[in-house]
Amino acid sequence: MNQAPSLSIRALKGVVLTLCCALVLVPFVGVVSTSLAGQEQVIKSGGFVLLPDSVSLAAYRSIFAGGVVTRAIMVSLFITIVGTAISLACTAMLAYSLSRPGSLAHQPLLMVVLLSLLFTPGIIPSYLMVKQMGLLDSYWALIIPTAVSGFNTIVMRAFFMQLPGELLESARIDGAGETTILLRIVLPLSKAVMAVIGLFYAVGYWNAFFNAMLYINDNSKWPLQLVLRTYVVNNAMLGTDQLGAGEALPPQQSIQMAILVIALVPILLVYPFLQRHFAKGVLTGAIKG
Amino acid sequence: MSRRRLSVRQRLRRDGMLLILALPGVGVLALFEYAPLLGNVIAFKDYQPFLGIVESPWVGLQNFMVIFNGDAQFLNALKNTLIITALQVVFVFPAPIALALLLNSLLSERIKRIVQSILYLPHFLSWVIVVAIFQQILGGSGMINNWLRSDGRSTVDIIGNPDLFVGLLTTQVMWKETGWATIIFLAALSQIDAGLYEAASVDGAGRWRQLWHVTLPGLRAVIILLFILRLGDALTVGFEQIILQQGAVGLRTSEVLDTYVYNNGIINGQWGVAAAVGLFKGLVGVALVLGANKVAHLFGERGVYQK
Amino acid sequence: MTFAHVDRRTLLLGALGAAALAGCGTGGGTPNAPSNNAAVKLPAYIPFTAGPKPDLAGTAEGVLDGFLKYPADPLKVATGAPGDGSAVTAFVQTFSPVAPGLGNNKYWQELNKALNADLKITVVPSSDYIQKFATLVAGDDLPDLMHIRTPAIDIPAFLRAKCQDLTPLLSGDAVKEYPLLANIKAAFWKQCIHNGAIYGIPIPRAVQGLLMFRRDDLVAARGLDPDPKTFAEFRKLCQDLTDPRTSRWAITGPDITVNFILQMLGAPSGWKADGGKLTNTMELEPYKQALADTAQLHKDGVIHPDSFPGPNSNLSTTYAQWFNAGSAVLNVDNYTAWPQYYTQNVAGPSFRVGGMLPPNYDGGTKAVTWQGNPSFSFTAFRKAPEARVKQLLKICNWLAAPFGSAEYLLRSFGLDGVDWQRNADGDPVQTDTGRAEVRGLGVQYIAAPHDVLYAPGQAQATRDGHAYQMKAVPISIADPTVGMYSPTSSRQGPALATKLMDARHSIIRGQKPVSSWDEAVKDWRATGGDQIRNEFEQALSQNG
Repeated sequence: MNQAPSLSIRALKGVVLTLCCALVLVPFVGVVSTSLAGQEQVIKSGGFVLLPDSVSLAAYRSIFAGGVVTRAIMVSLFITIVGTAISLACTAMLAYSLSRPGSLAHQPLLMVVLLSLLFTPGIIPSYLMVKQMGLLDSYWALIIPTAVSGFNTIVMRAFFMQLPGELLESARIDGAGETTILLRIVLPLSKAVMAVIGLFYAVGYWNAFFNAMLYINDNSKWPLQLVLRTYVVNNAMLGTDQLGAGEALPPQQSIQMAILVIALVPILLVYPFLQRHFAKGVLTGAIKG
Repeated sequence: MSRRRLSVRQRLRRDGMLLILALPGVGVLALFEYAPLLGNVIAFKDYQPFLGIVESPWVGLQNFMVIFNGDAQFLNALKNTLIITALQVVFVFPAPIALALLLNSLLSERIKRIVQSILYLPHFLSWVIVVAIFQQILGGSGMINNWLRSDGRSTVDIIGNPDLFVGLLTTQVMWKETGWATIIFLAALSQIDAGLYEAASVDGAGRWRQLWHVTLPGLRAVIILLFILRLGDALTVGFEQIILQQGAVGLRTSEVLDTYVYNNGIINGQWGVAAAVGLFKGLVGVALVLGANKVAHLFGERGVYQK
Repeated sequence: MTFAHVDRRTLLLGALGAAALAGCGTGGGTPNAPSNNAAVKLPAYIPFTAGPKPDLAGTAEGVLDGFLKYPADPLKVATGAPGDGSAVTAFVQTFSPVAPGLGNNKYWQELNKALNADLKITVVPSSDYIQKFATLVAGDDLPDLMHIRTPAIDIPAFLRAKCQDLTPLLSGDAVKEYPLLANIKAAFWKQCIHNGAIYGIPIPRAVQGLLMFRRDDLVAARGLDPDPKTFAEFRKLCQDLTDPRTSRWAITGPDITVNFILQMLGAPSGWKADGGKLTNTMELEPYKQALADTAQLHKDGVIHPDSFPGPNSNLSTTYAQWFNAGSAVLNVDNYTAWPQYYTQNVAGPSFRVGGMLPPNYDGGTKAVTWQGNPSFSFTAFRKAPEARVKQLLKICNWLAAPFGSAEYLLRSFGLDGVDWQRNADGDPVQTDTGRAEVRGLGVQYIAAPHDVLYAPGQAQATRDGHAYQMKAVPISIADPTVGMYSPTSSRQGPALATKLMDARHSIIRGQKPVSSWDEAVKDWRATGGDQIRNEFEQALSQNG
């Protein structure tokens, strides 16, 4: 077999990937189009527009009216950035300390992390704990309780354990402390997994709304997703008690899709930077060589 | 594993720093996962929020009766859950691995990045929207049927067809999550020592043999790990996705464990039932994870957890 | 209890209730003893007469007053600011995008000024209300004023444990202290009565809540008779309206069809009371008739093909959208949707919406319309010293100022020139700011006057809506259990409803025979239905 794949295989790959991309892209074009389409077209097309006849920013205007969303974006950015930093630090330290079988209390600690994954505490006991810690109505209530994910810890630990053991062992023999090894050797070799886990955490913080709903009474401290939720879910339930009649709101679907676009933009912006870290397959080789 | 006989004090001196590193993470878990877990005692109580956890009366195993009464509806829900989990293990789980390998085999770094950036997008759509999109395309008044009608042909019933429901669910999950799930495998691929490929290449291994002897072994640990963790969630299948579409096909084919519990307890705000089912699922999860882990060890794999 | 004048009866009932609660807890299944709610003297109804005369007068039976214009010079009806400057906390759910915080919300600031209070409102998206409410209760973080709708907890026991008995302050003539609350008719207060006491103030709505909307323009375009005289004619109309090739179906959904046919058949609304015995509508023969007919209509293909939704689907919005787009010609919706259909219309000036009364099923039946819950929700008060409770009642009194007043204008529309502007006809039309600031704050769920038919710039909708109510209300019947509490229904109602819905849909889709309904009803009776019946019967007998 040759090094370069045969033409037919390359063609096949091309077809498969093009098909996959089309399956994803077409609905997405629809999402953006619907957010921009006028009321008439949205309603006539049954709620989903593939290409808008005319472009209207009404949905976006109505979302940004009153400044609630702008403020919420700032809140969400703060929570996401600070939260991801804290989460990555805690998780990396925990994962590293769990990456050495045979160390003191290794097994019980690993069990602690694993079981946290399988059992979930109820809403009310969690609320009572957050209240007990004095975190109600504080941004920290949206960060600390979810700062460590058992899943992410275990995945990161698995990557740490795949690092060449000799490298760590020799550093240890040279008298390096654990923090030095973690900072100087393990983390530089683990950019890929750090990027992935960082992305998982960031997306988690960015998308979270439920804790904010429970823990934050002051709605000027609400993060974006909770604010946006009041646009989608609640418009949907208007039928229960339609008040304030006589308003010309942009169509529900346009608002829903505009919300999606707004919530997606930051992720779209950040992703390419992270992607760099795991798209190259040469890290370990380069360092060892 | 070299386990020298050291006293606890010696091991403490050696591993003290590791314990300190673990402290913040374990502290968060202890405070916000484990301490509230004590509240799951309401699984054995008739919990009323205004009475509090302590004051609410004990009811023994009554809350577990939702699970253990063994009535036909529950068994049906369990059956559906297991069918869906099995399908997901067979189709949904390997899909991102295949996609990651496919992406990894691309020669052009740029195409690879662009394709990947496109494919991870659906992850960010909520189920409400995914379901709506599928309905717009496949529904009774959706694009396909409108087109068939305007051609004067008979319509196809996909969304409301109980026989196709499980297939529809699986397709939706694959559409939404495959691209996103590749990320972790791509990270694992990037960790594979490039030197191994060079060595294999020098030994005259072709692309397929490199895939078999270098790439897959490099991914194996992560695949097994994620597989075992997925098993721990075997009784959990897309609650939101299913409840949104349940009305279209009826409960017989669409009721799964989570929706059953929701429809029979949680919808009424029965916190005790929710806690009871949480405990039950947790215990099943523990059994499955530890069992699968044992199997992994038998095959000489590391698994999640090792002695 | 903080009140000095709690009479012996109340105390005794309180003790009884607590015993019943303990009994319930041990799994014995003893229902909460329904207290003698009928003995409660409801707040006196003293109509407020200084307001504007309605353009379209309502009736004592429950037709709402209709207004075509807002008074140019609205009257101030409350005497001064009711508050003392202290903080007042409230918890409400919202169906609207959440409003800006106090610092950025002119409406809120102005409201605080007018009330002389520091209103602190915790809003929660309606979909998350149950969880949020439960955590507030569990954490003992209750606000002064609580919006109570469907909190999925034992309401009477909760009220007894945590909330203020308002009977001494509101019962009978005591309500005169709060003249704008006294302007609420007795029927609306019933929902606030639990444990033999008044536990809140109501948020009133129309007697005639849901109705069958009809696209009159589409019916007329086909030259069809919009008002069929029998079910057979109704079915014919549906068939004539349906044209799948142009994506048009007659009816939006199956469940509304079942209910509409039941009303044609003169079936009772929810329960039938007969000498203290209750029978649920779905146990009666007409129910199977309605199921068979709906299955037939489904087979005819006149019901929109995507209309079987999941329990959480955006049912009403989707249906309303089909209706507006003309993909469906008939849709059931709330009376408040009437003007909304006009503002969201895309059919141009010919667009016309009508209300369709259920025709008599055939020669032998007399059609009825079903009344809804008179009150949307009620607002309970946290236990507090009497002076504080009086203060809060004064604030609620202000917020319950009727249509036509300056207070109502501020509460419902916001600040002149900021939140709304008068149009050419002098109607207050909300600005973008107003839309963002007012509704999402949820003040309308703290306290409210009688509802009226009024929509700025939508006089036609108001006229049509009023005309419909004039015809529908006289033939309307009420559910005898409205305002009564059944612990089993509260705890298991939703689960039972899901199972029944599944059985119903299977029949309508033709997957099961109509006779399978008996099985579903039997199952319902065994798993809670009979218990609910018993509890309601008990409540009924005690309420006389």
